[in-house]
Amino acid sequence: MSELRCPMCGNPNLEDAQLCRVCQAQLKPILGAQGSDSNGGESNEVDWLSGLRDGIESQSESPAGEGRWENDAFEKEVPDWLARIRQRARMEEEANPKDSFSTRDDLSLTGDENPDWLKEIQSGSESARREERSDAWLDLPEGSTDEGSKTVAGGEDDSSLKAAEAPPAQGDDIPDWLNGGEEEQPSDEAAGLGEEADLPFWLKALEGESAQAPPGWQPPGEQEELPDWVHTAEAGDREAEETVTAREEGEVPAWVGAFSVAEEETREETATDEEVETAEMSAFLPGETEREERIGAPAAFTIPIEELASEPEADKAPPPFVEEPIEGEAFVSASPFTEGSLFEWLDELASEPILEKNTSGAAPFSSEAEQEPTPAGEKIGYPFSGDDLPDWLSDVALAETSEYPLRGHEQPSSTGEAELQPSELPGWLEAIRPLEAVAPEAETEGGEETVASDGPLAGLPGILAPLTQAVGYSKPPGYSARLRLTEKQRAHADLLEKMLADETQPRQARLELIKDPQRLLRLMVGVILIAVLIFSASLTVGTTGLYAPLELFNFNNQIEAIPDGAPVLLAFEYQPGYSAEMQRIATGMLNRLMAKNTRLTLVSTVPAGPILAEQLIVEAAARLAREGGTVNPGYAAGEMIVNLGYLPGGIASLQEFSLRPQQASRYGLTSALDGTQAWTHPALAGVGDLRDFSAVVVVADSLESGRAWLEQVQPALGETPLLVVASAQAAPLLVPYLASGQVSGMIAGVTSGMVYQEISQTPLETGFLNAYRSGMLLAVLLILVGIIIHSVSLLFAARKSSSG
Amino acid sequence: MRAPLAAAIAIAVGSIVLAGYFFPLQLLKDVQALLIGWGVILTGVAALVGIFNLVGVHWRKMSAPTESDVYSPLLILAFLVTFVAGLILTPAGAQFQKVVTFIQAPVEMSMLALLAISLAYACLRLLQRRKTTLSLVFLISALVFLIIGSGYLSALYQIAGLSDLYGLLTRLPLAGSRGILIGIGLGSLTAGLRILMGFDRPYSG
Repeated sequence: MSELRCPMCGNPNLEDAQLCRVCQAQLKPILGAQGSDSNGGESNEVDWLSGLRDGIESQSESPAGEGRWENDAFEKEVPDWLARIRQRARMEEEANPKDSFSTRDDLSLTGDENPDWLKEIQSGSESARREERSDAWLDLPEGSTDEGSKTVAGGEDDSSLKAAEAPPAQGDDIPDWLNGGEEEQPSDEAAGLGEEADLPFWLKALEGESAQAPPGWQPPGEQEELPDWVHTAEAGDREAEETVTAREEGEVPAWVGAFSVAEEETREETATDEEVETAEMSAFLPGETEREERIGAPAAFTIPIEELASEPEADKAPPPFVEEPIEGEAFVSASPFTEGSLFEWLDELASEPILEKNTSGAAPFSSEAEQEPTPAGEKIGYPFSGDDLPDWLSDVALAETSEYPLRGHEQPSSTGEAELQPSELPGWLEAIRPLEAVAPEAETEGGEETVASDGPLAGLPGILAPLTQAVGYSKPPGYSARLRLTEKQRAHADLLEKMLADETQPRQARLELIKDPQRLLRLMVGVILIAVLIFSASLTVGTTGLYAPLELFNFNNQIEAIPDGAPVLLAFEYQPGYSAEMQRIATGMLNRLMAKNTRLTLVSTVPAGPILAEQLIVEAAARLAREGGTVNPGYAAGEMIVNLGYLPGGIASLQEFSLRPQQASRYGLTSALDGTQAWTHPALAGVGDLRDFSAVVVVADSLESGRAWLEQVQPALGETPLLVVASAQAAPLLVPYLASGQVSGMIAGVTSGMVYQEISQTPLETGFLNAYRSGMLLAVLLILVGIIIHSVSLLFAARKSSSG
Repeated sequence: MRAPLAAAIAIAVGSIVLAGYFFPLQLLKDVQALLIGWGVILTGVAALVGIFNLVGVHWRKMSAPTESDVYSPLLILAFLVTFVAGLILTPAGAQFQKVVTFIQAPVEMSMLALLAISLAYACLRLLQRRKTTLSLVFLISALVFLIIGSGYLSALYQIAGLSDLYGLLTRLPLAGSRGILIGIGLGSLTAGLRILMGFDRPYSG
């Protein structure tokens, strides 16, 4: 059982089916029935296709530059329905090579699947050729660039003009509204506008004529692949999908926006059917369905015709039947939307000739009544109207004839009234409109029009210019890590590098003198010093031969001024280490005080001071007893000397001692032994305060100890003189107090002590003095030797450097 | 403010003691003497605390598990012997005084004797260690005053014309010592004022 394939969706249907079971499209074209019924018969049908084809060719044969652009546009604007059909044809060919039905076959409606209207015009044996040639018109746009196209387009503008201006021939059923694009007819054929001359060669073949295909024409069956314009259109679709969608969404023109509501309504109403159809189509043509979804536009192709026929008011769009040829022509139209006129492409397709024909003659597929001349500017009736239309389309067509005529027919009207606004573009037409209809506007908004120089869009104007932004992000400049140095800088760098290298190198340790010679030298110095001291100490001299300074004379005078038996306070403020020196200095003073039978009170702020004082007193008494002199033999040390001991607290204790001496030193050194109070000792009889002492003698080995007495105690002494016996190191610092009068007299150092001994006529320790002076002289010699050695070394170094 | 009570007490005590020097009021002097007496007692107690702290430190050094100090036991032993001998013999005992006269004094004098030898050796190598102008000036000044201090040039004092030079040389240390004493006095005054004003609080820990 033979089956009839739907020209829209390609699904097989029963042979006697009128509508497609899937898409509800009319399986048997109206043209078939009309052709049989019309005047022209098959010529009417042929004329209609011829006119359609001529329109396409006329668009393709527009002036050189424009025509090229149109071809590009045609290649870009492959309608989805055509791409779908071709894809399905390829799939069928692959599945059943023997049954080499293609989309072109479906379109040509040949063979068993030919509709009746074509079967009637078939002349028997020409079916195969008709298949090819009926499909050839689809290839014509592609062939417009080849030789065949040139042959057909020999007349170009002239032919189209002639064809448009030429009156329709008798019996010529080519619709005038389609005849305007008849530019591809040769000039001679166009001039005659005969029935046969208007037919393309493939239609001529259908009629049995021995039409010869143009040189560039290629039978569809021989084509292994889709035409280039299809590929180009597909590629363009894919590349422009996003752009179109974005522009439709965001930059929809006003004339499009007016249709958005109606389109949405239509889509909603046909959603269910669309889903069913889409599902079926997806199963069959998944790629195509996907493309449709991406584009999101061709919903009009899926709208069932019944729904369109039943809802013409809501849709306000031509039926898909009319839509397809228009769409096919849009491929070759010269930028139909660029000038803001929606149907300029239709104008160029049909334009004035069609209008003139319509106005002058009958509509190609209309009844006699409808073929009455129509005044200019009056709405042109739908070309497929009246009895020529099938039942399913008649309602739609009749309804639209009065209210929605083809807009292209109105435009050339003389009055210019009833012009449709661009915003009235239906949604389905908006979806399939060429990209050029929108792209140039967007580009002109940007102020520039970019022409692709390479890639699949090479030569196409109005494409997006992604490089304009990419140019802003230029490749960052590369900087060489290599420094450019001048000679001077390089020299400095080398010098710095050398310096750093020297710093990093470990220094050669200087050869120090080995420790043995140092130890030997130190030992030698010690041995020499000791030898000299011992030798000098063994020497005895009669006199010191020293000059007595003024302070020493004052000290002696103060001691001699002390009455006999008077209390004298002795402060021993020196460390045990200085006891040898201090003993030699203080012995003469102690001997003199003992000789004067003074009562001595010993006190110290140094812990070892009281013991050192005891020792000094004992040694002084023993020395005087041993060496004779002016010692008082009746001097009872136990009764005449009292040791108050140690005053804790340092300077604070001296302050307390100066204020309240009895409270500060309540217990003496011997109190623990004999249990007596210090201030009840006979040596302190009649002494309650420091002012009661005849003299205060401070024996100090340091500045601090002597200064504490001078600053804390001396103000509390009143008229009591304060005498100082200082070591050699403390004497220079205590001299200022002597000059200020705070100190009445002072023995400064060993030499002064020896002088005082000599003055006081006490036994002179000449051996100690000789050792002391010899030691100092040796130190002077060592310093001189050191200076000489250093000077000689410097001299040799200077000579060595000068010679080297 | 850290330790405000301690600062107040320190400032008050210092002010009272300082006022005792300038205002001859008996009450003020009595208070001053009382406060100084307390201070002396506290100083003695602090000396005892310091002694026990010293013993404790050396005890820890001695009892340390590693690297114990070998001299710490000697110090502790000497301390205990001296402390016990002092308690028994009392500081006035002739036997106890030998601790100082036969041990402490010779040890300290030996140290000074070694110092004398070291100084003599340093004088010999001073210019080899430091080749500076100040080193040379120091050596020359030391040389001059060693000669003057030895007394060998005292005869110059009797020579007309040189006596002034000798007197000038002997008075040179006086100028330096005055400067030192003035500096010490100013420093002590400043430190006392800062403590009285509370800027320095060494007692606050």
